[in-house]
Amino acid sequence: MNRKRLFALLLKETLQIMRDPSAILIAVILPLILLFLMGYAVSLDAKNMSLGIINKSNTKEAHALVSSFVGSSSFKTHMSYDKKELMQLLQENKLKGVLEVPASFGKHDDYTLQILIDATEPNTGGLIQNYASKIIRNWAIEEGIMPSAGISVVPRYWFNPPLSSRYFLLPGSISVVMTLIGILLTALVIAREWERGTMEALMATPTSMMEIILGKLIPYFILGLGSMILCFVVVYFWYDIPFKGSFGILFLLSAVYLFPSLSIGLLISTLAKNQFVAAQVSLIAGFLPAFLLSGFLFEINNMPMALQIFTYIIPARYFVESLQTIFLVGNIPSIFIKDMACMFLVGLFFFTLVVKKTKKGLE
Amino acid sequence: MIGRLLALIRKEALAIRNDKKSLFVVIVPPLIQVLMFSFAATLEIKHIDLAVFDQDGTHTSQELIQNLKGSAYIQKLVRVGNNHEISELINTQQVLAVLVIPNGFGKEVLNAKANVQLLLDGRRSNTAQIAEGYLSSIVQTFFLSKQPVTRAVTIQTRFFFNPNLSNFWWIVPNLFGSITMIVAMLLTALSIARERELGTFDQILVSPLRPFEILVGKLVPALLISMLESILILLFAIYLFGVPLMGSLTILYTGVIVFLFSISGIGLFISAISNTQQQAILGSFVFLLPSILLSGFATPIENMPSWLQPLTALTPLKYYLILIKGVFLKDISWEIAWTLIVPMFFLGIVFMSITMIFFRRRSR
Repeated sequence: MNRKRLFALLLKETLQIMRDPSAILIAVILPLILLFLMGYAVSLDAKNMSLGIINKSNTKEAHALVSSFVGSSSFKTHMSYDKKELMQLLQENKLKGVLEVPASFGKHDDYTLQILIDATEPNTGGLIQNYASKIIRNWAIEEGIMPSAGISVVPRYWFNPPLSSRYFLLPGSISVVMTLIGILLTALVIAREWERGTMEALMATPTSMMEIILGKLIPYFILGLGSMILCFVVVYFWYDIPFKGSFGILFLLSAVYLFPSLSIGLLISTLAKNQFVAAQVSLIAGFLPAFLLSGFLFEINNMPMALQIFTYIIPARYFVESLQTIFLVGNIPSIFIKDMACMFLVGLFFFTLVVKKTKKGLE
Repeated sequence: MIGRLLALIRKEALAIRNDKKSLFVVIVPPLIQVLMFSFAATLEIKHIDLAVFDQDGTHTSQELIQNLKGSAYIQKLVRVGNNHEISELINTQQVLAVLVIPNGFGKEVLNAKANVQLLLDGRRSNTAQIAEGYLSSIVQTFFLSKQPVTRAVTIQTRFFFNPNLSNFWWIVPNLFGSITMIVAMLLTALSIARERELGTFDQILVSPLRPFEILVGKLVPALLISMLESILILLFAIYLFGVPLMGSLTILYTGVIVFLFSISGIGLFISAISNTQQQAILGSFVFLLPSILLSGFATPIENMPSWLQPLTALTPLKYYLILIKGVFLKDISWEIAWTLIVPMFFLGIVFMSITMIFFRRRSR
């Protein structure tokens, strides 16, 4: 390896990054957009659900029940006497549910209610049912229909006292951003050299393959770490997410995570040799798994067994776990060592494939 | 003009056909995605790992633990003996929650007033909240079974449009929408940028084709391929996942065409302002990601802050997801469908016109 040649390549690649606004777009603008949306748009807790109410009963209890629904922050209520109208609104997606209080409600100790819920989104449907039952239970206790005594389950959420989905979504977002840079951007720039035929030109020079690859990877490695720091600053200072671990370890984790990511990006570009194919494949094999199969949004435990096994070769899975831990819990060495070892092994696996493939390509 | 246009469309179609690798990655992987992500994207919780710290040790507390063990939601139940073990298990994510049954619980249950404590891992607060719901209802049911009967309120809940709360009925139509969007977007976003990068675009520009014709020539093949993709996913949805198609196929496909038109309009816009394929791909990313997050795919739009909600009106995917789920599950009428199709069409026209203006200026 010749240091001077490597520096020349690094300089060339850095100039290329600086001159193309799209690299800055993905390293700076996209992380900011993503963190903004994750912080404000994505919330898994239901609020302001539109609920239609038909009250056919004149009893005092029925009125009290209706006003506790009106006063609740979980629901935005819409009163009506016409069930047809409400059913139409349910169809139009303007209501999420309808509460019907029958005429017999509150007479002769009969307290039967009906709730119709739009279940096209099962999760929201289930939440509406939960919230409505809670309101009804509180009302029943206040009216003396149900005994106030009972069993209470006192929940305490560790690591996330305000119970906000931001606490786990925002640290997890860092892995999405770094995956984009490590896999997508890397795959694109190398595929571009192949597509334009400049790769052959590079190979014809005295530069070795190792130098070419390192010359490509080092700038994106630095770019990846740079946007991790940007994300960290936004998450910590703007959103006030606690950071219990130490920054040095976060830095180390991120650096280790970039090894499998860059290897996957490199492998994709060597196989595809064409930017369109490289983009599609990195979307499917890199970005979407990091989003959906890493435990960032959806619990891995709930997936079918075959899919759970598949997640073991997704490096983001380990990174997300470590990120959430280092932000919310602190330094837990057993988790970090295991995750770093796994990320390294996955990286080694893909890197071996790359080396094999590149050798073949040269023959 | 028609002749010229047809010739261009034929050229585009041939270019796509001759590039087998690209055609393959356009058609096949999205189908695999539908398969995989339909199973992965679930917010249902079925496998809770729970630890129990039984400080009471009476017959009653044993009975409660047996009830928990018997529940279908609980996958693993371990017993712990001290607080140190609790933090160890939660910190290393071996359990999601720990139930602490305090000393005296057995007596308290008989006196109709009892307490238990539930410690949950807030790193996974969404899962933990759902688990809290299940666990407390198990505890409540156990408690009520020990009490004399009292007056009760009956709530009859009926789930409309998806009576069994099937996750597939929700995720598959959503994937149908977002995956066809990604395909249509990438096809159009790369079309002009690729020719520009390879230098063949100048050749088209010097031909007698007008900018409008070039755009249509780029639009039609992409539209056809993404239509084909959507038909394949539709077959998957109905025959593989058993999602019922309650409404009319005509409404569905009018919606599909208008949606793909609007997305292709945005794709061509990105393509027209990009100089290289890399810019086009990364540019479409900057559009796709917020689109999916703001569309109400994973989280309802009502949950977003009120200042953010108007922004969602700008993404065609929002209307499209309501439309698809409406046709699939709710059998919506044309009257409702129009209120969703028209905004998509309008967005498509707006983006197409902007593209046209850019295009004219740049092709001169």
